[in-house]
Amino acid sequence: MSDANDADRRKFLIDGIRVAGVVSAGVLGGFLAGRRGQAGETRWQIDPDKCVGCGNCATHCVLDESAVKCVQCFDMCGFCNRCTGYYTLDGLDSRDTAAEDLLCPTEAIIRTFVEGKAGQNFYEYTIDTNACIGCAMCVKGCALMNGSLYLQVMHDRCVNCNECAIAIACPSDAFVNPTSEKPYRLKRVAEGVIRQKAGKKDTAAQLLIDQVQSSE
Amino acid sequence: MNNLFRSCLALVLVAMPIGMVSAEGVPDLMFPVPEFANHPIPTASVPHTEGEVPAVWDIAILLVALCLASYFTLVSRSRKSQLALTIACLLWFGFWRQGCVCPVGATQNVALAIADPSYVVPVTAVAFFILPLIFTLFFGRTFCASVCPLGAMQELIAVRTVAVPRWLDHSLGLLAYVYLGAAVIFAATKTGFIVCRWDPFIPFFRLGGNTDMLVFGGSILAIGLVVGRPYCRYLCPYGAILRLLSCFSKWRLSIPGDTCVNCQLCEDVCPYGAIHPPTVKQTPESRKRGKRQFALAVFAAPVVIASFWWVGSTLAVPLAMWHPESRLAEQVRLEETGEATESTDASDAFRGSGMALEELYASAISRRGEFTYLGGLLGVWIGIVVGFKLIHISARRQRDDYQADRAGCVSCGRCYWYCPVEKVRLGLITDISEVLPDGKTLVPLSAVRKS
Amino acid sequence: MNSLITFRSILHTAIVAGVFSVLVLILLLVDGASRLNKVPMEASQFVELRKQFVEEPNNVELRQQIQVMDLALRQEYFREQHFTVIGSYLLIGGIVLTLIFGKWATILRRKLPKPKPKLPGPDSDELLSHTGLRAVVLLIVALIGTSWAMNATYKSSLPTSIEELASLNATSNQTLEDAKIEEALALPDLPTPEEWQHSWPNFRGPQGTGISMHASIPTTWDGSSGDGILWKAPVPLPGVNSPIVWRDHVFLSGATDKERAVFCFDALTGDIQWRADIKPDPLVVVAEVKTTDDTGYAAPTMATDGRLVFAMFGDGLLVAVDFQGKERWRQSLGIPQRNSYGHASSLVTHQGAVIVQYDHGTPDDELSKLMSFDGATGNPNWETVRSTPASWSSPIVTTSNESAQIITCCDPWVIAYSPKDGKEIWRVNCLERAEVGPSPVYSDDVVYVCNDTAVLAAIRCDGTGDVTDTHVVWTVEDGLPDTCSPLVSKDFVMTVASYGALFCFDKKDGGDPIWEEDLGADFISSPSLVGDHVYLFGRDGSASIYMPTADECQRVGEAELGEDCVTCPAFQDGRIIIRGVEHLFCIGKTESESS
Repeated sequence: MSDANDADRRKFLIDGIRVAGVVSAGVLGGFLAGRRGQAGETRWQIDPDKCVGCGNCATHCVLDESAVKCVQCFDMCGFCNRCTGYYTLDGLDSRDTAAEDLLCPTEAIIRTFVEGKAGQNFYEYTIDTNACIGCAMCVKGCALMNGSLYLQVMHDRCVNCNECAIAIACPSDAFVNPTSEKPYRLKRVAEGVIRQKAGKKDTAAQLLIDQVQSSE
Repeated sequence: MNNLFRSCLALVLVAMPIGMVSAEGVPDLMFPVPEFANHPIPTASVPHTEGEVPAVWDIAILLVALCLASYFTLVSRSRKSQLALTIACLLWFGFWRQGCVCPVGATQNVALAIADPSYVVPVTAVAFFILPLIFTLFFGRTFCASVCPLGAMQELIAVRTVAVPRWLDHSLGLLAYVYLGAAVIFAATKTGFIVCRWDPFIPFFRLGGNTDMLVFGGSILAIGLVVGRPYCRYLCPYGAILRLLSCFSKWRLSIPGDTCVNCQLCEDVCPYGAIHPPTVKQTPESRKRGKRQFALAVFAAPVVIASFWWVGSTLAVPLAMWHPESRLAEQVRLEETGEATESTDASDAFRGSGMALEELYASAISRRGEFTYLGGLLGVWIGIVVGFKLIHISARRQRDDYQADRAGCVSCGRCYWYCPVEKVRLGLITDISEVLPDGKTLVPLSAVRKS
Repeated sequence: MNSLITFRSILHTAIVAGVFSVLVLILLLVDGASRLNKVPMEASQFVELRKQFVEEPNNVELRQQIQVMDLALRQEYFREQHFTVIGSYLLIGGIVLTLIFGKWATILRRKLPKPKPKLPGPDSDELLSHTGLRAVVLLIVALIGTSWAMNATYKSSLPTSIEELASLNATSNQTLEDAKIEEALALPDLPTPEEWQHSWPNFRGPQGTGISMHASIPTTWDGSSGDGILWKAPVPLPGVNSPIVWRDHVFLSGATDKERAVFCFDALTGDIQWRADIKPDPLVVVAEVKTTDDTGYAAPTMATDGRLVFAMFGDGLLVAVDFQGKERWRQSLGIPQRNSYGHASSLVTHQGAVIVQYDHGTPDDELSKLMSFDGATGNPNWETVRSTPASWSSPIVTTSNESAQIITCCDPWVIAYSPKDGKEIWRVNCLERAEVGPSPVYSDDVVYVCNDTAVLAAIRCDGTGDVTDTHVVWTVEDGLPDTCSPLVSKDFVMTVASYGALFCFDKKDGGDPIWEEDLGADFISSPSLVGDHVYLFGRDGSASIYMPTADECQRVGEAELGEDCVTCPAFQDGRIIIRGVEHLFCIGKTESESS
């Protein structure tokens, strides 16, 4: 008799705890999901204004070939002949486009002649994304001048880890979480220029603006 | 000339942030963007996000997997279907989704979301945390059995396992609770997601990772060959929660006492030591000793909790050190006092940012204060777990038949696979004796008890 | 078929797959261990080669070696990545096969577990109770030990509380304030008006009028014989800027296409007290700076606010140097874009601000600007765009009015600005189509401007807006100079016409010249006035001293410098300091002469 009572009491207790557990889990889930509101999923990204170009992006990504790559913002580029993002400082004056004077370790920067004007030659620098390893050497070099080269997490490669391994290693706390609808960031300077371009019915600029999250 | 050039560039570089700040808003470019006669300035483009699965799909797949797992475990009791589901989930959640998001890591997202209302927690993370909990409360750890990719990995390699003595199993199992507590306080203070940082199988899912991860994962795998599910049993923080909850589940995988033939096969085959045989009647001596131990444990528990609280509160400095900002503050301070002669990337970046030194120090000090409190809390949590464990192992319960451990059973279904009674039920054999090892009795337990 | 799928063949397949996986794993590990640095260019050998190449830039062999190595490194890097990816897939495939076949083999030869006979004695629960208790106690000890080890390993260097930090800050704030005070000490208050009047702080003296308030200036000297020359010091670098004087220091600048420097001479002895070498802006390609021999790289005369001296060079570099010769700040204003002769406008200061007239564009391209910088820090105060082509005239600051004005000349405008914010106050159109060289001169609320091919005009300074029709008092078209600024005395306005004649006009009415005097020489240097003597330095170094009256022009002295001279003299009590092409001269009565 007392055994049966015991078992009953035990069952009641367990049932009670289970109901409480389910209710509290449900409430917690509903509360968190509700508070989240309409904000979308987040992606990892680099705030280029904070990035110091330390090179950790090339070595700390969980992927063997880092998801971080260099981006050229042509709207900030001076198209300089003496490009400190392309040449090493020692090679700046010799201007030989061979390995001994170039900064990029994988020859991922492609230099093409555009126009000679007022005695100056202008060159366009584009990034070969397949070769770029995100080492930030050019980013650091370009920062001496206009700073049009900067790093971004490429979302065709990024697996969006819960905790980004590069973010842990980042010395300047430059990793941010924009929403997945607008997973890219521009430099503040570039943003103004490109927004202007987008306003002038430039579809490429509009596309880029659609992909970037405003820095403010 | 080059040296001159370089030093001047360095000067410009140093001066630049200052110039940018003072210019207020958009600074001028050092070299204006030229205008070309017949070459428009192109706009940079960035690749689209690829292979993204909408949150709804993720949650739906998880829900279906949980339902199937529960069905296979409790209704169809089919190890084969379970294995198929395990492989499917491993392929989907592990290799295709590359291990993110998983409920183990989601624990931290939820902890952070509770602590920091401004944190935008992904809805998938919340669902991945909550759904297995609710399923566990009803059906036991069916999530661990065949949905969790980490569990699946270990389940598939648990080929030849040795039995871990129960005393070792129980005491090592406490580490998971310590890990859970640490993971929660580190996540809540934005110190980092340590569970993700030390996820053992992520490098395998992603075919690459840093050396720490690979070594850790490799050793877990190697141990997993001889010890069943070492990560799940001794480290997994989410497993620790499920372990608690499965004690209160409505249905769970169990051994029906009335039909059991007492063959002992299930006990031997369980790689996780989760099936316990009937207890032997105690001698009066040991009974007395047991009572004394129980009383001792009950009295010791509060002492344990209090002392862990004290130990935890003294850990403020080392715990805070896990936070990158605190490490930065220490480094900067050492540089200021001249003890550190070389600056790090982080301290250089800090000095470049123009943030006030005092602000950094104040933030680090207030964080340390926070960790005095949180460390105490972690200590109390560990104390409660350890104290409860002391009481729990000192309390003797009588078992009349083979029983699956409420907490430790991960519903893998191996016992069904071997159970002669099950085989008869499924029509694979006609008589129990066909599959029994030689010389075993065929007496159902119920009959034994009656006699 | 069935004979092939035997237990043995399946088991063998599993074993082969297992061995294969292990081999792949070993290969991967070996490859991983012998991996290059993550970034190919950081390979130490490559870094070495590059260093060597910097030292021997013409070593062709080395160059080729680098190129070959670079290629090899890059190929190796990508090969390794490729290798890892392929290896990983192979490994996974191998493991999957091993598992499948192993499982299959075990299914075929399934062995039932053989339960061991139950031994009598304590059951596992009993053991758990006893041994488990010990194990848990051991775990407690281990946890506490870990805590102790953590506490022992991590020591904090930060203060323990916010209060302590506050006290730490208080001391550091103290030192910060000390530093501020120190800085303030280094830059004293601006000089008093008296001190200002007694020195020669910028082009053509304290007011930019060329008038000295000193007296007893000699009227005769001979540079070649040394008579009447107190000292003569060679100037190491060329420059057409005039010396400025502050207390006992004489400052001037010199530059070539490669070097530029500011010099400080001792006014009493002529010794060079210091030379401050100014490094050119690295981002300015000096070869692209256009100058002529008439201006060179250091044409603008320096200025001082009594605390720092400021110099500007032909490539648009503005620097501040303290009285000890240390560079305090610099501003690169960019290379002059459309300036056919080279930048020449001198600097002027007003209450600690440096004012730069930088006209080097066309009326439309907004390149020409008037700028003001904080003298102490070099931070820009303001800049005002001027729609004017290049000019070579120097701005002046008028101070006798209630509100000060910066007055500038350009083609075709004379424009006055407020020194506070750079806002335009008034403008007069009178210098049309002129290459503006002479600077304006201000006297008794009227500013006198002139230029070859334009006019000599007297303009009242109390207007606002375009006052061409209302505030021009008089204009004349005789005796117009192309370089020399006019000289305005109490009663007369004098100009040195470009063909070498001194003209004198009535200050109030203008009209026809009162008299004109053919000087028989070529002039770049502007006339100066000391007492009632007009000092003129010809391009060939000959000097003439005249005393103008309402009727005629009396020649009261004549002298020779001994070398060419294109700069304006600076006056000190009893002395003239003038820069020749190669030397700096100090003209004055020697002790014996004066006594």
